[in-house]
Amino acid sequence: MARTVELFLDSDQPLALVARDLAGLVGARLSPLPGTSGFALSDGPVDATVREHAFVDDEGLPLSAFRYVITVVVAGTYEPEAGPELHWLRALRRRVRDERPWACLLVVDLERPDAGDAEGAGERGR
Amino acid sequence: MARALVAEGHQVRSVAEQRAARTADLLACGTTVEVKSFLPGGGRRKPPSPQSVANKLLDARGQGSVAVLWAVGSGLTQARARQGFAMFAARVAEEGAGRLRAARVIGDGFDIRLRLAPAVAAPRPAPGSPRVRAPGVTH
Repeated sequence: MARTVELFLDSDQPLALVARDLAGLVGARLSPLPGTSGFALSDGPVDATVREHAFVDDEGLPLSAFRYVITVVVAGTYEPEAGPELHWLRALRRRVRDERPWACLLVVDLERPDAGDAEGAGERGR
Repeated sequence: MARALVAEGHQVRSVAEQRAARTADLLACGTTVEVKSFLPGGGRRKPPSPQSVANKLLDARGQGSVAVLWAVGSGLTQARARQGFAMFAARVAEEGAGRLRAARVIGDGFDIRLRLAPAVAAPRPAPGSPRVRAPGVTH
């Protein structure tokens, strides 16, 4: 069991193009995600997946409005703020927000008591 | 969670995580099991919603044959768990269940099991092909 942090992203581009573009934005290594139509991004200690998702809206967050999700597993801890994964995802979001016309939504943890804070559950881009 | 499965008589071992892959957490009697959990009550903002139940089960579709949602101590009620199951089942009927063949939610005082019929568990149709609504979800 592990916790994850997610960046939801909406684009009309096909998944393969989006994944390749994201990899280029942060210099990550791109590879197919075995057994799925998704992709894996590897960047140092961080492993992410990029895929289409079927999540329903939750906690007031319009997850279904975003076609893709980038998921990073937070290794060995229940504290996303303590590891490199969330920093990596925030850096990716910054690049997407600054350089691509895609809406994005960073979801740190829907379950935490501080989820309503500025750095809480949903950090909406664009 | 693993202890609970062992207590039921399953032979359980953990599955090593692989980089750049979505894998199950456990192997129970040869079946891959993906375990999702909710934070216990003390660390939570509020009890899990039905949508949260549905999303965790939907997310488990690519990771194992069986999804187990461990909600003990989280405040999830049986009613909300069943609502979440219904949302999950509706989505699965439309899109397929991926690798999943069964799902289970264990909370305080309840243990809900859902077996996915083969028609529902079939792979997603190719793009452009007609969608078939398969109602074969049993409790």
